[in-house]
Amino acid sequence: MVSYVHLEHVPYMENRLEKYLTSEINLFEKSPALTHKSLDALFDGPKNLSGILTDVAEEIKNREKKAEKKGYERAVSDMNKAAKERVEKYIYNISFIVGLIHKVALDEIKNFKIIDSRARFSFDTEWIDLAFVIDAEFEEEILFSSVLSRIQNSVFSNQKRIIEIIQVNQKNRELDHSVLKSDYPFIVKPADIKS
Amino acid sequence: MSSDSQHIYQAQKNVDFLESFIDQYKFNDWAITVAFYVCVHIVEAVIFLKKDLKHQGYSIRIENSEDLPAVATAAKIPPPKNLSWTAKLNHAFRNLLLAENFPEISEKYNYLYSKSKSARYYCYKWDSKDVDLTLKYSLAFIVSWFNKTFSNSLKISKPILK
Repeated sequence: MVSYVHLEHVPYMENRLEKYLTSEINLFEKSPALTHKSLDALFDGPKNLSGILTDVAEEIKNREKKAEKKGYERAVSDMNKAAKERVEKYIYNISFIVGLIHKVALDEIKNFKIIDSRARFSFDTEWIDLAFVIDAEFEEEILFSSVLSRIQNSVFSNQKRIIEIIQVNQKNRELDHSVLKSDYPFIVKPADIKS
Repeated sequence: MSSDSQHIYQAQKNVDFLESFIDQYKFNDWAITVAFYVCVHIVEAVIFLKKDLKHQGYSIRIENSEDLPAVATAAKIPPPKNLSWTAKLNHAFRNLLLAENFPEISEKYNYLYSKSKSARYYCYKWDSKDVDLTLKYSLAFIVSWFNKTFSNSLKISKPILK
C-alpha cells in the first residue's frame, strides 16, 4: 500500500531531499557512461533495453512522418497563400494601371471614349500586356498614344516593370474581334483612382 | 549582328518598297507594317552609331538592341521585375532603349509599333487618309530626325511620305 507523505509534515525528510537536490548529484546532467550490458542489468520487466530502444526508434519514425506531413502541408499551404497574394496583387496592379490610363486620358482628351480595356494575364512572369479598343479621330488617337507612352515610361521608372500596351482604333474600321479576344482574353475594369 | 550601314541599307530598301505601292492605297495594312520596319532599322542604326547608351541609369556600350541582355547581365544590371534577361523579347529591349536614349522619337515609334500590330492582327481595312496621317506623323518624322541628327541621307521621294 502506497502512503503519501506530505513533506511539510516531515521536516527531516525535506532536509534530506534538499540535500540531494542541491548537492553535486545531478543525475540528468552527469549520468555515468555505462555499457549497454550494465544498463540492461539495472532493470527487469516486460522489455529489455534493446526492446525499449526499438520502441523509441519507432516513435521517432512516427514523429518524423507526422512532422514531414505537417511540414509538407504547411509548405503547400504557404505556397498557396503566397500564390494567391501574388495573383491578387498582379490583378489589382493591372486594374490600377488601367484605371490610371482611363483617368489621365479622360482628363486630357476631350470627348474621348475607351470602348474596351483588354489584357493578357501572365501569372508566372507578371508581364503586363494591354490592348485598348478606342473610337477616336486621328488627333485624339495621337494624344491617347502619348498618354500610353508616358504611363509606360513612368511605370518602368518607378516600378521597374515593363508594360506592353497597344491601342486599336475602331473608327471607320472593321476589327477582328475574335482574334483580339483570343490574344487579350480578359476585360479589365479600371480601379478607381483618386486624384 | 548588323552594322549601321546594313541597317540603313535595309531601311532604304523598305522605304523603296513602300513607295512602290503606297499611292495605290490597295495594301494599306502592309504600308503600316513596312513603315514600322523602316523605323526598326533606323532605331537599330542609331543604337549602332551611338553605342554608349543608358539603361536604367547605368552606362552601357552596345551595338544592337539584342546585346542588351548579355551586356546588362555582365554589368550586373538587374532585369526589370517582370522580365528575365534570358527572354527573347527584342521588341521590348528595343523599346526600353529607345525610351531612355531617344525620347524625341520614342512616342512616335510606339505609336507606329501599336499601329503595325493592329494592322497585322486586328484590323485589315485601313482608310487611305488614316494611312497618310499615320505615316506622316511617325515615319516621316523619324526619317527626318534620323537624317538631321545623324547626318544621313535616307531618301524619301513620294510627297505623301514627307
